[in-house]
Amino acid sequence: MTPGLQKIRHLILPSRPDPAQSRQIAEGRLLICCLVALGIFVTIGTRIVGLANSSNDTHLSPKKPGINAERGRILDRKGRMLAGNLPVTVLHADPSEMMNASDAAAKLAPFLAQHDQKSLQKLLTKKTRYVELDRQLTPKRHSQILRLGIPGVYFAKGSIRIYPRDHAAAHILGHVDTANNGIAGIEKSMHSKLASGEDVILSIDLGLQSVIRSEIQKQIDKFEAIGGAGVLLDVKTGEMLAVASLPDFNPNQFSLASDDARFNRATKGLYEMGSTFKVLNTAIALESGAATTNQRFEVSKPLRVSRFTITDYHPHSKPLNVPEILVYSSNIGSALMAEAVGAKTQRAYMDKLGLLDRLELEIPEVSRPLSPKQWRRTTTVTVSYGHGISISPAHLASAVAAASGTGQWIQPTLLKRQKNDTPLRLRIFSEDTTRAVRSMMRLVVSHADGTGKFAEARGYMVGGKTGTAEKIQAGGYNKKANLATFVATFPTHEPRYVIAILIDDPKGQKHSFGYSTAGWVVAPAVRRIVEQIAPILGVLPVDEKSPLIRQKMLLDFTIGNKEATLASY
Amino acid sequence: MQLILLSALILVGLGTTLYQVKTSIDERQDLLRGLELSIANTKRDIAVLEAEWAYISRPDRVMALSNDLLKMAPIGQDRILPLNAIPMRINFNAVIDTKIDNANWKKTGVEAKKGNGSAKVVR
Repeated sequence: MTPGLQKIRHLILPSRPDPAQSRQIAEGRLLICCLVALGIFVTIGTRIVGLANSSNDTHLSPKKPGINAERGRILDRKGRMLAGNLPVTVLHADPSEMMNASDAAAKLAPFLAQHDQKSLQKLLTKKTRYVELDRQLTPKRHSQILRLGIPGVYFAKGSIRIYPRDHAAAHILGHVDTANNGIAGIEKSMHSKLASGEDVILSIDLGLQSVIRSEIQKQIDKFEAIGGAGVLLDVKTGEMLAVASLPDFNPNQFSLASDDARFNRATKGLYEMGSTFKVLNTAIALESGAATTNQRFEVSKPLRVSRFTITDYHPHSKPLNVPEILVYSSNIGSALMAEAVGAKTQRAYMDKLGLLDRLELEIPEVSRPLSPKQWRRTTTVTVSYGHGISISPAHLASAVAAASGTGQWIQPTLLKRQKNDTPLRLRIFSEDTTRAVRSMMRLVVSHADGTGKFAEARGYMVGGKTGTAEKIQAGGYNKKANLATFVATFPTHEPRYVIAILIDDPKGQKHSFGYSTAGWVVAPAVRRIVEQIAPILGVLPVDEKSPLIRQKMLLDFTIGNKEATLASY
Repeated sequence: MQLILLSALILVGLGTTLYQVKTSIDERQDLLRGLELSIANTKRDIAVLEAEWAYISRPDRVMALSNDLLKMAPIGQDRILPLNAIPMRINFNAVIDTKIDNANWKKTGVEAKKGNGSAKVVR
């Protein structure tokens, strides 16, 4: 044995004969053992203390926040829930644990709507370990099934998207697919925000929405119309307080809705708005200086523009001034005013009013208006009374809000404005112009000869303009099918809200003496809407004859042979 | 020998602490799990109740109910007034006091107190 090896052997197996040395070696070994053990314990100890201290350690927490966060809710402007999540219990079974499948099927069948006893038995005898029986178990059925005590039946927790307000604002809310991905409306456009668990607050007010929807529905039923739409816009902020499109659908049963019901007429539907455009035409003529309020236009003879002949519904033998053209809704007068404005200027105003482009709303369902590429003389003339250009009711509301409100075009929105929001504002009309337009719109409703007198909601100073357009069909216009529109602004002495309502294809009724014009079909709905929503909006009724109100209106108009008065109804 | 004893004691001490820490963590985890479960259950209950409330408080439903059961209808414009249009109520006690004070003053010739000249009005 070499001496080196001997030394190592001594360390492991010391030579017996030297007790002192062997004791030393033993002590050395013990010390090493102690240190190693101590080291291990200290390591484990510090790790334990460390783990116990770190409360939000990602390795330990069972859920990773953010990924599993529940989809955010959609609320109305007052915080009322329009879309939310409902916890549901998923009922599933493990057929291999079933003791008696036919007995279980018989017991379960009365509680499950989508299965009968036969189909259940087939499911429960499958050779798998998981069959889903119901995805939307209500708490009541949950406890009932639990009480049956069937072995092999299990419950799991899940959640579904619900729209508790049924039809209200269905088109705006949109829908999600089974994987909770937004596929329409706000659900689609705000998907990333909602998916991260954040709530979305809309500009819509549920109460106003409900009033407008039900009043439009009433008129649709009364006049056997095929549809309707309505928009309520806040003139000062551009917030859309209500957007209704009828027929609508129950978003909780989206798959049952027809394509027609899913179509959003208020923002995606394009219509020739007819005479309601005369409001814009008047504002443009006054603002551009092409006409003054007392200027008279010769309307006694039909106007010929290339191949068109423009006539008036009620011919007038005397020249009409600008307020009379609006109150009597003269096509010839409007056409003459538009000719004085000129094609280029008119097109520029239409562009500024956002009527040539799609509205940048927060939903995907918006359309680009249909307007002629080349703005000829005929275009200028027809656009003056709302033909040759097709826009959505939302477009109309936002343009009229500019012409009859603050004079500014404000970017409309479906989301509630926050305090530091600075929406796009374009100054288009002066205060004088809008005051004149408002006063004339008021006369359309308050004057005895006005076309919109059924919209008079006493005390609320409603102003408006009717529009009854023949519907476009292949190759021209259908003389029998109408599109009745009404655009209202109230209160006219302090403009705050604009309502645009459209009823598609109303039919003349006995109670309307055969008329299916906007004055008969839409104006009464506007009156009822204003009477119901004004208290909600905090608009107080005023005495129209009080000097305080009169000084806010323009009154130096002559309508017919008399000076225009506000309280002429 | 002392070293061995000392390290043995330290070992025992560490072992005990380790055991205690371990059991306390188990306890706390049980507590945490219980809390999380009850929070989740309460949240589910709240979500169900909120959904139910939203469903039964639909404006059209409430309107139909208030129409049928309470015979309520939208308020007419002639019934709405701003608060400051309501005439103020006269505080008759103050008026009477003033009159009595005035009478006393006439009798005794004592100066009337300030503010007694007009009747106090309250809203």
